[in-house]
Amino acid sequence: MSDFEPKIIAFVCNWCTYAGADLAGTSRIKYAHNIRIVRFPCTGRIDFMLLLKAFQSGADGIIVSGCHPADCHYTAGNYHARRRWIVFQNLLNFLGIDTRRITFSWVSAAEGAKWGHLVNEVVDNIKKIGPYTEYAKLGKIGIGSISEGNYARIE
Amino acid sequence: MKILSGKIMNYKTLKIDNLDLFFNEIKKSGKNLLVPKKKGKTTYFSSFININDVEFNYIQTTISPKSALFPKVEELISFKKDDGTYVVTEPSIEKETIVFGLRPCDAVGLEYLSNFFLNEKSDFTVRLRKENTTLITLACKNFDENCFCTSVGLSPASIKGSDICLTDIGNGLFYAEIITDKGEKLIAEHSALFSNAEKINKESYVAQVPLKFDSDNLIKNIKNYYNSEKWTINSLPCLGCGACAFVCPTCTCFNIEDEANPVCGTRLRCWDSCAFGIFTLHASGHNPRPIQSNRWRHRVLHKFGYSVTNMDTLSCVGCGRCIRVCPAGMNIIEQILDLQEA
Amino acid sequence: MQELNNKIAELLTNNLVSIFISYKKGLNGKIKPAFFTKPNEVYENYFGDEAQQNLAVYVHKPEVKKYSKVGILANIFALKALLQLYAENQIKDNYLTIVTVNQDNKVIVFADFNEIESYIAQHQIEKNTNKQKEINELLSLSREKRWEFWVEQLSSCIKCYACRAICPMCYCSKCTVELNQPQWISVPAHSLGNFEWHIMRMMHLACRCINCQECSRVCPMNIPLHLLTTKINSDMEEEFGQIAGMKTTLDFALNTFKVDDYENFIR
Repeated sequence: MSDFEPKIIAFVCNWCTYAGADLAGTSRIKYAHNIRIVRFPCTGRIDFMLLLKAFQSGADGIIVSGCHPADCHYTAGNYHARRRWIVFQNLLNFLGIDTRRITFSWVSAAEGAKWGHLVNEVVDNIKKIGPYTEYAKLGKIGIGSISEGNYARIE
Repeated sequence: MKILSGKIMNYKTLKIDNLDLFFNEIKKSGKNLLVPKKKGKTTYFSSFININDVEFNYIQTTISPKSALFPKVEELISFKKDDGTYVVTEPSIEKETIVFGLRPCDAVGLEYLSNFFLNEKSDFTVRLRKENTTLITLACKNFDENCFCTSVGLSPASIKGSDICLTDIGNGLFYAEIITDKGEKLIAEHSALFSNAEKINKESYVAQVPLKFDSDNLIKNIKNYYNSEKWTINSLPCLGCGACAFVCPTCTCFNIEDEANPVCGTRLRCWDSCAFGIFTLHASGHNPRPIQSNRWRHRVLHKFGYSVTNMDTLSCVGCGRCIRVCPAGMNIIEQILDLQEA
Repeated sequence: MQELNNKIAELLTNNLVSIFISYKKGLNGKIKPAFFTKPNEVYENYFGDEAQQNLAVYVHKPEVKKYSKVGILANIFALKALLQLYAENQIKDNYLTIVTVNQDNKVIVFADFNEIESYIAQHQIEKNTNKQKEINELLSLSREKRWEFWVEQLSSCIKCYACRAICPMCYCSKCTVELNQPQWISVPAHSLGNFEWHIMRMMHLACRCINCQECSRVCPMNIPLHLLTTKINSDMEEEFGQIAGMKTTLDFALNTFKVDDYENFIR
């Protein structure tokens, strides 16, 4: 497993975490390069389906991050997002989707160091858990006639 | 409409106790065997694993066996970018398939379905699947109030479309009519299990389904029904889901979906239903069937009118699945009786 | 049920409603929705345990909306659905006449939605402990086993959308799943498309679902959708103390927040 380099997708808000990640860069803080950052206007904009799309496209881990409570650029976007995550996490867990691979965090524009730590931690953790292919494989199940596993179990 | 019959090549008997052996032999030979299975209230076709999973106690399976020829999602073509060039592949069609336990009406339904796909332009996936599929029909011993095969010119004894037709004749025996070369070939491979038999009159062993309506009269008058007010009244419960079309053995409508990114992708053919509101929605925004009564009318008239004009056959085989599965209790028999009454 | 029939006939005769939605027995003995427009049709009316369908779904149907005044026979689930729809501004005032039959077989005609609110408060539906047990059993399994269970269940989905059609809370005139340029939810009925569809539907129904479990009843493939709805409902109640279909005012957990919502899962 030592040569496994996980793909981590980070959905971050423009005002805090993206700026925080920027600060990490300008402060020359080194952190794992496994991360691909997608910038959003606000955590409230991060649709739950985006997380699933990331898993579908082969992400091994996901970070969702935005402004601390009371710091939202749009006043309350992060509060709404927080509720949505609670519901979504419970639902995913019930469906058996590996929620250990989704990390939620608050990283402000001043917390470049926290961002670096967070990414390192997540990458280490996902390296330990291993690659995530279950969800991405779903797109191949159920195509073809019944003999090809229309109703069949996952192999 | 006369009771459809074909030339029967041979007659055999098979001990019901030997069915397990028969299934296992087929499985061992590497062919794919689809048998009815039960999951809660649903009966559907799935690959044979064990004789104990096989369901025999059903009037009609909830889901039709049409996915053996026309799966709910199938790949038509796929592409992949490899070293800067695109490689296009056509899907390979799977191994030989044997469907066991479909009803005589289903066999006719599958024949209609394959004729639809193969008559004018030969659809290659359906053609290959059809060539590779052997249908072992199980004649009905029971029926319920939703069965109306006799009203559309069929009967629980009809053998049209089947390769082998089995009838339970009591004493633990199946009476087997071998109808096609495919059926003959399959029997020959397992000849030890079958013994020769004389032709018998199987009418007394199958269900006697009462006539629900007069289809000749319906076909003759179908043009007069287009403007009937009964469509609106009777379709009020209809909610516009696709359950009726998806369980129907003769519904052939499909939708092409491309799932692709710049690196790889597939073109998929998926089931579609005329009951969906957006089924006929034009790009302009115009919808020729804007309300549910129009869609319901289209479905019924297609089964009993348009397909008679286009393909010279009814495209309803009277299996009654749409009636059993409808969430809102829509009933095609009721609709036809109402039309004829008016 | 003579009292009910008389009431419906009376409403129709006095032009208080132009159509009344109730149940009747179909040709095959199956109970199906009935749409009475004339008092002399009401003899067909059926009321009993077999009448399960949640009739509130017909309130959105364009053909029904054409009638100026609609009467509806509502069981407790339909009442909850209608109340939730009212809270979501989907029902005009003075458009519906809502009739129910209580446990003592007494016919009640509601004057307004406040009465429905208090009726529902008095007639709490007992929590189905069996469903909760099934959920707990699933949750006690390992994640991998749970995943296997749901892959098997959801792979069989044929995407007939009967769950959506029967659902009184699924009233969007255009569903996300029908948009394909650009496509957001994978439309084909392969397992990925099925997961996306059911997860999206559940998220959109969170705290709006009144848990009538019609989706589960009508599924041709017998997918236990009631487990998902019950789970998401009990989550909403536990986490935010909100239950759909209880109030005339909109109280939608995902539309609001509390500053002190828990966040122990956020780093």
